[in-house]
Amino acid sequence: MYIDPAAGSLIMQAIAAAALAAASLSSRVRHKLKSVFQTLKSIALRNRGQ
Amino acid sequence: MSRKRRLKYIYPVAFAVVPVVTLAADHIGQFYMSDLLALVGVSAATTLVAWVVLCVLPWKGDRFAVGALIAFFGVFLVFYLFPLGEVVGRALPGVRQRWIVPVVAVASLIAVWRVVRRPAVLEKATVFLAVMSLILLVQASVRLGVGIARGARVIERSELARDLAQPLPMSESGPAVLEPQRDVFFILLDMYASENVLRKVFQYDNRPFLDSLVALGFTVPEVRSNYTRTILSIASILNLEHVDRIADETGPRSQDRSLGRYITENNRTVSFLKSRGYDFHFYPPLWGGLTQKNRFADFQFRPRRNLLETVLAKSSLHRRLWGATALGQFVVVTEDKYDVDSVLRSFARLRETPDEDDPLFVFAHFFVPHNPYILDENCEPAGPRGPDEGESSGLEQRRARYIAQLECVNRQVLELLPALLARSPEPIILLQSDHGTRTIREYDPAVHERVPYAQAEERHGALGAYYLPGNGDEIVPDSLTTVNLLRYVFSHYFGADLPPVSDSLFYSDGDYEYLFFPVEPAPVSQ
Repeated sequence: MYIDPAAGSLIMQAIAAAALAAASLSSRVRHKLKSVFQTLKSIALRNRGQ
Repeated sequence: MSRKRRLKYIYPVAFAVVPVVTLAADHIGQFYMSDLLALVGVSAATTLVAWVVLCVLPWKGDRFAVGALIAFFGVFLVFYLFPLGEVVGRALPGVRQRWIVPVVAVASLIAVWRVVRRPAVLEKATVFLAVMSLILLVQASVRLGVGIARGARVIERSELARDLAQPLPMSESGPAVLEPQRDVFFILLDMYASENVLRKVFQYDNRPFLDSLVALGFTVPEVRSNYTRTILSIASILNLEHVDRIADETGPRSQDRSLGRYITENNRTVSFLKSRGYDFHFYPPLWGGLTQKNRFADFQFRPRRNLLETVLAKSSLHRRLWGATALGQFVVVTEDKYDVDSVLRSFARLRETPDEDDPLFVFAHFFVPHNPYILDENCEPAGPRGPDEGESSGLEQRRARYIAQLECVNRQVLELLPALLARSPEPIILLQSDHGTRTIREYDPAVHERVPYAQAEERHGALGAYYLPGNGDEIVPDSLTTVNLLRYVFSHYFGADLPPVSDSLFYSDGDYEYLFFPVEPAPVSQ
């Protein structure tokens, strides 16, 4: 059977997408992302206040 | 349920589109946008219909979620299972490949069945797959967009393309002979091997055919193609120049064919002859992806007759998708009858080329006797496909089918020539192959320093037979390489100042068309 080299990149792409999807849906990651954004927001507000 | 909430259930459509977009992203310059859009459209529409049908079935629980998961499972089986089997097979070389696919298929079926029975898990799986499909689609689309933009930039910055856009130099003394403006028929027979290769590698005597050509007035020198891949060979022939610089400009391991296709379409032969009042008639092959369209053509033969054939007669991208997925394993091959029809119709139309006021330059690219072997020696459909070219087994069967297809080509050519030779004034007819065959496959870059001479000799040995009226045959030497063919012709008939360039040979193989390998020197006895 002929397998196009693109077959490999399709699967690698799918694995990367699955990992990203899992990470974005994980509550821990979501929580961390949220806290990063909150920290950034509070720093910005503090700078504006000064 | 709101429309917005229902949107997440159509993720199977995204999963069905991604393989097409990914394949296109990995083969920039090797497909036409119309072919890509047609494939995306068919893939998306088929999945959407299947999804709608599955969603109206009376499943227990959330029928949209169940319908979507089952539609996704179908998409997975069709597009992802075989590539996954290939990747797993490569990662685990000890495991028998033929077991991987059924084991993964059964495991996936069990997983789907278990998820469908648990509503909470089904909801989570739906969200996960919807997010994953979105990421996949964005990834693949960005890769495609970047690839297309990069290909366009390579063309824009190409010194090779700029050099080839210069007009051909003309001799101050004018043409060697004062000639009427003759029609020029350039008939490219893809992968038609030289007499020497046919005798040595195939133990086939093609002399009777060549003798018939000689009897008609043809000259048949010993010809070698400078390149072993179609895109490079045709680009160099039609531009009358070496094009190996393409490797530096595009990258030797690049899969991007944009520049090669650009200089093939915008070639110097067509611009030179058109500037001399010629009309350009173009006969593309049904597929191939490289010479299928030419915007400069005054007449372009349509290898596909109607919209239905456009869908069923596969484009190059279509064939790649078929070859890489389960479609090629279980769906009956449909393209052969369209290939047969387009080859025979092209020859028939060429025979009936009308006389016109302006002289004609006719370029016909026949994708025969190149595989797939679709015609037998009597030009009837060859029947079910034999072993594929990429396989190591079935060599004898492949050789027999190649020879049968070659005999059909000989028959078609001999039927065509009397019609062309009856034209007035007598036309210039160039029967040319772009490269030889590829049955000897001893070279392994990991093991050998150089390509064995016999392998390179087979691949470079190409047919060349020319009808050059008005003593034109005197200007062609006994031995030549393809890059110089039109240099001789244009110098003699049109007064171009084109001394022959180097007969250097560039051997490339496999997936990297621009990666040239060193070749062993010829044995002393040669």
